Amino acid sequence: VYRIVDYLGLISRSLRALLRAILRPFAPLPEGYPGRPEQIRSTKRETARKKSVPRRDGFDVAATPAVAGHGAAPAASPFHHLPADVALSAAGPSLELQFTRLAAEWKADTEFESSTTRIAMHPAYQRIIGMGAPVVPLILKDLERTNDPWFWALHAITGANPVAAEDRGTINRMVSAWLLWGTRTKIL
Amino acid sequence: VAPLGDANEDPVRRARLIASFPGLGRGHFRITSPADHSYNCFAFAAGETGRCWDPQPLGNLYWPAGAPQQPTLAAFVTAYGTLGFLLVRGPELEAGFEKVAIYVAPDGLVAHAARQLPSGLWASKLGTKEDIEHELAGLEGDRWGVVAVVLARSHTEQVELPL
Repeated sequence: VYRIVDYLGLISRSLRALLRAILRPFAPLPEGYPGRPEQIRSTKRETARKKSVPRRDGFDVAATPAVAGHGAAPAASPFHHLPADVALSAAGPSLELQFTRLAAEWKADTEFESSTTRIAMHPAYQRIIGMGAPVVPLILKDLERTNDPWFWALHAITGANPVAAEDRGTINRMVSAWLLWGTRTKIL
Repeated sequence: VAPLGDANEDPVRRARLIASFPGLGRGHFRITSPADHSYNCFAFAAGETGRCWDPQPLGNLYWPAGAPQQPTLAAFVTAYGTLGFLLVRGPELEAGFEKVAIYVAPDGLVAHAARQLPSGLWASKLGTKEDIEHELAGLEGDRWGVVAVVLARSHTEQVELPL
C-alpha cells in the first residue's frame, strides 16, 4: 500500500511540474510584481547568486515612488538579482518577437486614437500587459524611442507610478520619469 | 504647433487618413500640422497643445480638477464646462462663440473632440498624429461614431488653463 501511495505521489508531482512548465509563459502575475522570478530564474548565474542574495518574494510596491514620486527613493527592481539583458534573454527571443508583433498591431489600429480607454482596451495591448514583468524592458525601450502611450501598461504590470502629479499629460516628462524609474530599478 | 512642411501634399498620408475616415474623402479636409505627441484631441479642443488630456485614471494624463475621472460623456461635458463651455443645440457657426463637438463611438466611449474654426470648419488632432481642418461629418463613421453633443462658450468667457 505504501508503494502504491508513493508511486501515486510521484506521478502527481511529476504531472504538476510538467503542467507548470507548459503553462508558465501564460500564467498571470501573482499579486504585486514579483517579476515572475521562476521565468528568469533559470540561468546558472542567478542560481549561484540566489544562495548569497536573499531573494525578495515580490516587487515592493510600497517602496515605489507614488504619484507625486519625484525625488522619492528608487524602487526595488524586480530584476535586482539579474542584469536586464540576462533577464530578457532568459525570457527568450520569442517574447521579443511576440511583443514586436503585438505592439505593431496595436499601434496600427490605434494611431489616431486619443482616448486612453480605447487605446488600452485594444486586445494586443491587453495581451502585452498579460505578458507581465519580462516585457517591461521592451516597453521602456519602445517608450524611449516612440513616446507612445505605454503608461497604462507600465503601471498595470509594475504597480509603480513615478510620474509627478504636476507632470500628468506632459508626455516628455512622463516618458522621462518612467525611463528614470527604469534606470533606478536597473531594468534599463 | 509645428510648421506643416509638405505633409498636406503627401498623397500617401492623405490616402491613409481617408482610408481610416472615409467621410474625409467626401468633403473638404486639409492637414494643418505634422504629428506631435505633446497633445491629443481632447486637449486640442480645449485650446491646449502642451499636454494630453484624458479622464481615465490609469492613463495618468491631465484632467481638469472637478471633472469626474471616468471615460463618460458626462465627464467630458463637465471637463469642458470648467473652461466655460455649455451644452448647445447645434454646431452652426455663431458669431462671438467658439464650439467644441464631442464624438461618441459605437462602443459608447467618447472617441474624439473637435473645435470649431472661425470659418465654420472644424479643427481636430488625430490622436498623436496630425492636426486637420475638416467638416464635422468628415470624422463620423464606424470608428468614431457620431457627434453626440456640441458645447459652446462666448469668446469673452474664456478661462485660463492652469499650467
